[in-house]
Amino acid sequence: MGLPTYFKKRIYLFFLVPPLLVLTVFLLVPLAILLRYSFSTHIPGQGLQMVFTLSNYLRFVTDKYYLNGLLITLGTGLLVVIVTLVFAYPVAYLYAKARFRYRGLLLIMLLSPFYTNVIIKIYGWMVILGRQGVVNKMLINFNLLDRPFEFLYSYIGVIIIMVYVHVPMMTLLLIGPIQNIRDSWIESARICGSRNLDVIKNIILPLSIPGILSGAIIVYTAVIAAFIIPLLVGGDWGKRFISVMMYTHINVTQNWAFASAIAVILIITSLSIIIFFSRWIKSMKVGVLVSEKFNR
Amino acid sequence: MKNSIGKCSLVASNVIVYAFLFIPLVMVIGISFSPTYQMVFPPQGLSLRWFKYILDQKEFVDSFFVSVVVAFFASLVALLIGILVSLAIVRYHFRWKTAIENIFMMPIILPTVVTGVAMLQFFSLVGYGDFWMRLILGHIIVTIPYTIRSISASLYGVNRRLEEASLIMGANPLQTFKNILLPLIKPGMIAGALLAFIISFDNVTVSLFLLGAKTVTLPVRIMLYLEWHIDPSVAAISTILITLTVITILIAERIVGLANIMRLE
Repeated sequence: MGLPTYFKKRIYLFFLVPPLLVLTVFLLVPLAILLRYSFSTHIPGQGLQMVFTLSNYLRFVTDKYYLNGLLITLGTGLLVVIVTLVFAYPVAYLYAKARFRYRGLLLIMLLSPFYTNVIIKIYGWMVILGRQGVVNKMLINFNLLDRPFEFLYSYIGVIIIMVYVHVPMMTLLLIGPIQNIRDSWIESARICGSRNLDVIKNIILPLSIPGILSGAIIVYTAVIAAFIIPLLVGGDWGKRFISVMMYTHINVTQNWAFASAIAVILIITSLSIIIFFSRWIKSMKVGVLVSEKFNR
Repeated sequence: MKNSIGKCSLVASNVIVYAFLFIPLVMVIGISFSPTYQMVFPPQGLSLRWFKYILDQKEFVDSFFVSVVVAFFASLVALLIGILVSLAIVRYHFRWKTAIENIFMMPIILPTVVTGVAMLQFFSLVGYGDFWMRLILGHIIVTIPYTIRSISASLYGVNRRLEEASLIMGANPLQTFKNILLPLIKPGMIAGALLAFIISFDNVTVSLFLLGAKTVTLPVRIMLYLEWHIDPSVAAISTILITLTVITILIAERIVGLANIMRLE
């Protein structure tokens, strides 16, 4: 093949050198240091002691507080992802399948909240859910409550805001896979006499599952690493999120050794989820490919 | 979508979700025009006092410029790195290619909070105290994957024969690169740089670990303010930021098309 060889053959090596250098020095080396710190220990007043010990990990595994924190984080992630999916799927479906003039407008409407700063989104919900907020005022006006309910600084506030923040992201992740479901397959099911619900149950949902799963995993790893939301509006609940526990050990107790161990646990958790599910999805993509071939 | 019940429920659920997405933003915008200290919606009257108030706050204005400067340099470097990496990855086959690709995608896969902590520990270990550089470097790392992805996407779409033709006609490699390839991948470059800018400007997590007293970025400034005060001033600044975000999105739609940026078509 007469590929353009105007860049001499091995010149790409030089292309990659500066970027790899930047990434190695400022990400890989820091991660190595983080890993090393996680095996060291912290003595109050004396700082980090460069020994080699598993004590940080043992503390995490044996202390109920931290284990429960991990479970709370993972469970919250699951709940948020499921609710987010329910919200995002119809939106993604309309965008993917609708043919009308204002489709571009839909995307703009989706991207505006997506790219709005997370602090602003949290502030918006503070206005709505706060003690003096709109929801509380309405509930009190209708005599459904006699005093304001604390939505913020509790579990429910964290869930609502997390769902809100991740719906646009999930929608964007679902649009592509839904576009890959051919209209002809849906049409053929209709022609063969399937009713609406059957089409959804037997055609649309099964074919969406790989896309749903890959979107769900990406959002899940984002949610379990979420940090700003539980920190700002989580209250005591938020303090038990794994990322906030890590932040507390960095900033408050200054125990960088233990914070590093929590960080490593967070990395391992999200990586193993990604690896485990991406295997699973790959095997399902084969299924989709087969059905595509079968259809031609 | 012939069936009307299905269509109606689809449209209805869309209306609900879009309302859910927009209500907090509309609230914020509404309250920013409030004439009082109270955060009442709908606002009782219209006034620009909170906009004036926020523009008089020196630290907010300073933070805005910190954010702009950091986002500018971070997205510039991320753009250059994106071009280099995409050319190597798309145009050549070499050993460890997938591994190298994955390494460059790491900042997306890694929890951002971990990136922030790791870089903080690194900088304090080597005793690197320039907070501007700390912040910019942190933002470069976080934005690299986005420029690589959008530039390599547009590089995959370039027909190599155009470059061959240019070479056959006697242009030298540099001319070919400058006059043929660069214009062809320009949409990807613009999209990548815009994304990188927005992501850097919006970043809170990494900034929180790497900033210094003089380099507090705007989102962090708002966050710190919110810990102590709840008044409409944050709404005013939010309104300004939401407007800027929407303008950026509209510009992106004009120049490269949003569906291209989000890789939806």
